[in-house]
Amino acid sequence: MSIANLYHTVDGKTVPKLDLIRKHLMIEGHIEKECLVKILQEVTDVYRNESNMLRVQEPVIIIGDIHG
Amino acid sequence: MIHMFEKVVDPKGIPATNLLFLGDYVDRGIYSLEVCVFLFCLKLNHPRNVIMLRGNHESRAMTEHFTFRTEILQKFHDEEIYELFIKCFEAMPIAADVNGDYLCMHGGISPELRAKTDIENVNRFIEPPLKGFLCDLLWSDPMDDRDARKMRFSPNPQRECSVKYGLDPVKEILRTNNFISVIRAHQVQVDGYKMHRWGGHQAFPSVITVFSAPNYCGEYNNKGAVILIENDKMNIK
Repeated sequence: MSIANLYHTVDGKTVPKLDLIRKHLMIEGHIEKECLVKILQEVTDVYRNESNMLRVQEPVIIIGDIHG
Repeated sequence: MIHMFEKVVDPKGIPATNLLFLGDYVDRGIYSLEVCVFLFCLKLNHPRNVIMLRGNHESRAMTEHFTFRTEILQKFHDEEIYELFIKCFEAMPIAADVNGDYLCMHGGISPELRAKTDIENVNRFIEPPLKGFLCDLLWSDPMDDRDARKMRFSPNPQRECSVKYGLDPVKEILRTNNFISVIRAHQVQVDGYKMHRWGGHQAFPSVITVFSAPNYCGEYNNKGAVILIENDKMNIK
């Protein structure tokens, strides 16, 4: 999986295609390093800008441990 | 895990509800990389609707001691990728307030927790220490039902760190901050959840545990559960 294949633009925002990555991961497909680095850097930036405690409104599903 | 998602995410990939994850995405399974990549992609698509808190396994010490570091090095042969994961884990938020009713975190409360501002003021961008406030939020456990009304806090020998908490300190935090319950994860449950009904069978549980990894480690034969909160009501699925 490469950046060019994975990312598309939705409402002016460039994001990973969810359906594509889900299917790719289900068959344990490989992800190029460059692509994984981009995902990690982007998601780290999103977390970093969140506060320690977040407010969430219902409806909400709360999920406990997943462990790979 | 991804199968579970097909139930809560519609075919276009838009979550039908907000999703709040209480941490421990990695270790003890062989698809931690895949789980993380999928959840991160979900988060990047819906940053406000998908909330991912940090668990005690999202740390350098745990991923080195258990399986995640080895998994990443096997799949990528690259220390840099592992380091980026650690940076990512250190950036994850540590608690959530659902509807102003439920206080949520991975492990539980701390003797140092009085008000929501205590959580807001801690520096979370570090490897969790072996004791103290940040450690407790990620590591503490509720006491066994028979002890919960007798003690406020006790040592937590099974974890070799942090504390166990009883009814009184939980009640004080809930009352001071206007919450109904603490919702946390961190401990496997046969049914995938446990209502810690320390106030008696009629009372709403002060603490609720939710655990979503079915057949944990291939040996517990437990169910995985999630909690749905909608129209002020709570349902277990």
